[in-house]
Amino acid sequence: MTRVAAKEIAAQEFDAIVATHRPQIFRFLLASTRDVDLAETLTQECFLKAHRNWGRFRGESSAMTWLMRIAINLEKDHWRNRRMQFWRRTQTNAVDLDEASEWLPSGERSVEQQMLAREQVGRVWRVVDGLSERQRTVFLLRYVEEQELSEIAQATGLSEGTVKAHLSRAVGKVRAELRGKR
Amino acid sequence: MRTRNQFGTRLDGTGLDATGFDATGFDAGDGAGQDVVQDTVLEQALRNFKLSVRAWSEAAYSRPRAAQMTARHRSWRLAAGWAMACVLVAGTVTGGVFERAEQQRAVRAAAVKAQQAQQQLAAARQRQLQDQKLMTAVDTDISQEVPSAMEPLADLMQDGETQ
Repeated sequence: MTRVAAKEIAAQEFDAIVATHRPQIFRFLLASTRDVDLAETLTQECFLKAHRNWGRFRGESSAMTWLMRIAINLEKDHWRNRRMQFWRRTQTNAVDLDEASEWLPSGERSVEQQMLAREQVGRVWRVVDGLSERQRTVFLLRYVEEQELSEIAQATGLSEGTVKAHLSRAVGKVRAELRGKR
Repeated sequence: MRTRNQFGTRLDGTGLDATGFDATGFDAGDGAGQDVVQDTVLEQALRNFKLSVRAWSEAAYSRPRAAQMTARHRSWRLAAGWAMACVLVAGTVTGGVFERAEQQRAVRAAAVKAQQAQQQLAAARQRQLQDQKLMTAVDTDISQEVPSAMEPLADLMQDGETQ
């Protein structure tokens, strides 16, 4: 196989990876930041970084886990930089919790059910907003992306025990919020 | 029997951690009826949350991109950044120049003041010398002059001396 042909195959593989995982990476970043523009930018950066390092990807974890790890690191870097650039804090485009709770799939639900669902979503958002960065990441990977604990552990670089502990605390907070205001 | 909730988490009490929750935080203890209701509500809330995020994400992902607007927005930010940087640099330079000019002006004023003081001192010294000379002259004149009442006696003294 010529070198050009090998490059061509790698490019095709990467294209397939982008097509498959881009929406999921975007969704995770959107849920983490609540900012559509920022989520798009970070998703672009994530795939740019992945493309640059595609040759070094050995397949020890799944491509999704690898991409998620890049996305998590980019998000961390972003918030770290933002803390340094304190004057840019006011320029965030993040939507507020009420607006984020407005989104519900248009299923066959009654108005009452939709209102209840919206209220529940709002409460979960409130809890997510108050979680630490790490807890939020673990929580979103588990309950939005439906990842396994081992995958979350790989993506975050934490042990499975730590992931369990973070999830336990986060769910405890959601439970308390739902119990307290019902 | 092993059961799984819709997140694929076991709810049969296996895999409990030290806090009494299973891996996801669902109560898996002695199965009090209230907890079952709680877990149902919790499950429902988490499912709604997931569906909500997914609906939002899908809508945001498939929306038309406003690349030009973003670029303009960014270029506006960049321009504002540069303008602010220019103002800062100009301010710093102007401040430096002003301070330097101010220092020079102060040095010049101090030099003029010192010169004036020296001149005043020299003038005072001159005046003192003149006064001293005048006083000496006055003293000399006074010592040579004789009061009018003593003049006949002085004449006699002068005659005696000539004789």
